[in-house]
Amino acid sequence: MAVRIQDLLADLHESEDLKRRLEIRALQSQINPHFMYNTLNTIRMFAMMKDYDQINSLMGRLVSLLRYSMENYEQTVTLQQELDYLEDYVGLLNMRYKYQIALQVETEEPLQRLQIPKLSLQPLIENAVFHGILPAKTPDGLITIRVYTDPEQNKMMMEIRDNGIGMEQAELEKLRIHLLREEISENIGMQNVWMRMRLMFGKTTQLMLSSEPGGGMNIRFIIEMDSVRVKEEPYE
Amino acid sequence: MNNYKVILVEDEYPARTVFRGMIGQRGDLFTLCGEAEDGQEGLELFLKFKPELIVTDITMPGMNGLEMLRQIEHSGLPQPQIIILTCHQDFHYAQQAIQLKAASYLIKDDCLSDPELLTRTLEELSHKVVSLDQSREKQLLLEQKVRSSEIEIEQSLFLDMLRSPAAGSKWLLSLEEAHIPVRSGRFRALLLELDRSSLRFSMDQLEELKLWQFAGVNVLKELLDLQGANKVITLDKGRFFAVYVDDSRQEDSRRIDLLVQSFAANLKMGVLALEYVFHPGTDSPTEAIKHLATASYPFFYHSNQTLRDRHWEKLLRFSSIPEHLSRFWAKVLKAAFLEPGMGSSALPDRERSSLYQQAAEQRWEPEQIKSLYLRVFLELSHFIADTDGGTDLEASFRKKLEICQTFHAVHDTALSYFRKLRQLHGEGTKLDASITKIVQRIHEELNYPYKLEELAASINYSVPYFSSMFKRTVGESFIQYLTRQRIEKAKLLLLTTDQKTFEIAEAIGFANYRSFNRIFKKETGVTPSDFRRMGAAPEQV
Repeated sequence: MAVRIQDLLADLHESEDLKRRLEIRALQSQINPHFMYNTLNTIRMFAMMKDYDQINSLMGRLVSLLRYSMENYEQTVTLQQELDYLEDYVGLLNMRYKYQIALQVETEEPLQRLQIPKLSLQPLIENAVFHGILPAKTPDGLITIRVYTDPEQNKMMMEIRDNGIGMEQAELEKLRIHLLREEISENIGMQNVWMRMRLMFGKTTQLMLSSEPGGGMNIRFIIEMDSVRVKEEPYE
Repeated sequence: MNNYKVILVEDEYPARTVFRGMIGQRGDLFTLCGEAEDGQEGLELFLKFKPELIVTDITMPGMNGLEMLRQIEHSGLPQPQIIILTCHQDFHYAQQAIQLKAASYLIKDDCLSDPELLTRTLEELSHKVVSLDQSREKQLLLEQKVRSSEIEIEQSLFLDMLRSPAAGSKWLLSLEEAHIPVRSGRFRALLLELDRSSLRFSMDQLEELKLWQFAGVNVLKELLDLQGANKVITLDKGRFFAVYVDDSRQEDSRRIDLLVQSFAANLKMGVLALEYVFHPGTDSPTEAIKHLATASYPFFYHSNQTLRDRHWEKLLRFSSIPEHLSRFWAKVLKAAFLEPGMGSSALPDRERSSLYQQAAEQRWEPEQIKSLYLRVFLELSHFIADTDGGTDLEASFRKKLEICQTFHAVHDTALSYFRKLRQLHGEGTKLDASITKIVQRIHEELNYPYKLEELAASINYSVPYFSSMFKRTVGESFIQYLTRQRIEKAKLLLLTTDQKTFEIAEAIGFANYRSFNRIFKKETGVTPSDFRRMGAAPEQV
């Protein structure tokens, strides 16, 4: 009898786990916008202009993007992997727009190997670019990603900041409410990231949004240290 | 140079470079006078160069292409021909683009596969620029069609909202999308009805009504557009409902005045309107909107004003007229309508205003006010004109009364019908007010043992004069009339009550039930008890 109960419990556990995995998979697959299509179009544009250097560089970045999203079956990646991906992503955008965007990363050792959901930062960078920096038409767009620990509170902070046009308080409030109520809104990217972060780091994960018109946008995840996993350093 | 001026709006610079090159290929036809990276810049270029042709992307950071086209449409300037270039084969975009009168919709991919597609399309459109005047008419027609179907969509969305709360939040969302801050901020609602007494067609002519409603929406929209985002919905029977942002720069009374003037000037129609101010914190705007939009007789006592706070709620509630007051006012109105001077233009204004005052104060049920007037009319017609014309008049009065939206309309309608009633009775005969008062009294107190001498004396008439005046006014002699009234009442009591015949005889003023029996049999051919037995078929009597 006891064995049977244990079996059932194990089954249950397994199915819960499966459900969670499927959920994450579903959320992940939502992120695949017109980006690829637009990039291919851009490549065609450069082909029309016979600018082979640009085509070459675009294709290089595209291939590495594809490798990241297709070869990594894991749902979790290290922060560094995601950052490398973002470097390519922003690089591609920089070839499409006149305004150049720099990506600045500050991570505490050993948080480069922090385990995060795959493609979880990408939507935030996309928002920062299209709703923050490009509308601001600033010649030196800057996105800063900071990941650090706060030992006093036993928390880890993950911060994404841009120097774009920012958001009005009212609009920001609306976004907060949307996120809180888990309503599907135009901010689907943000919604998605927020849900995945909570699936990975637990319900206690906090999201703080702050912004001032003209002063850029600041997104901060506050994560319990206990739920943070760092991948072991591979043997050399 | 006679070249067509073109502007190119595209956010990605590789694409911009390629399209610039394509347009440059036909330098013989087109001059690219500017390039923009987003809608805002595109709009500025449009205002600066007033180009005949615009080539634009849709999704761009900041102001997108559709928003730019919307602003160009509202600029009041001659409209350019528009080519939309996009990656999206999304029908949603195409639909909006067509509504914004985009002449062509091209997919970027196709333009790259066929490098002449863009210039070929530009060239086709340039012919349209020339023949724009001819096509303008067509465009207008098309526009009208789109607008009228839009109106129907708005209407059905709204009706859905009235039905289900889920649709309610969807509707609110659509208002939010139209930039009306229904959830959070201040906004106003307007309830408006065509004044049915000013219409030049009957409310039953639905097609006609639809046409005028359409015209009404245009007038309303034009006015509201001046002050910001709005949504106008047409409802049944010449009613409109509008929701719009609160623009407190304009004085309240000014807006309604403007509205009334515009309808009068453009449509030659009167309107009744009430404006409601919503404040932040109205707990459930859909509920309030529902009540407002479906309110019956919102304008009965008050119209053309702006209501604040929860004042409107009070205006939608009515109370019934207490029986004694209803009897009192029926008497007063009858007397007023019978005044000798009534045939001329001197209206019983004193009575009208005091009734109005009390009714408005107590918020008496409009339907009951209508039946009060109807009752007066029927009682008057009863002894004024007992002819076929009278029933026609009654039918027509009932119909007119039904569509009355305000207290004053009810009163005026009753007045004019009473005048018609008089005419029907014959211009020559003057109603004797004293006699009619007596007739009224007979009606109200049938059981009183009336004596001819006594009645004549009560109004200082001699008996012969009384008799002849009575016959002239009522059409039959005093005793015939009194008997007929009593028998009619007796029939009613026999059929509708189970009073004994002697009780009935007493109730209608017969000295004893034997004479009642005799007279009843003489008048109807059957005895009262036989009449009761035959019951439901009084026509055979």
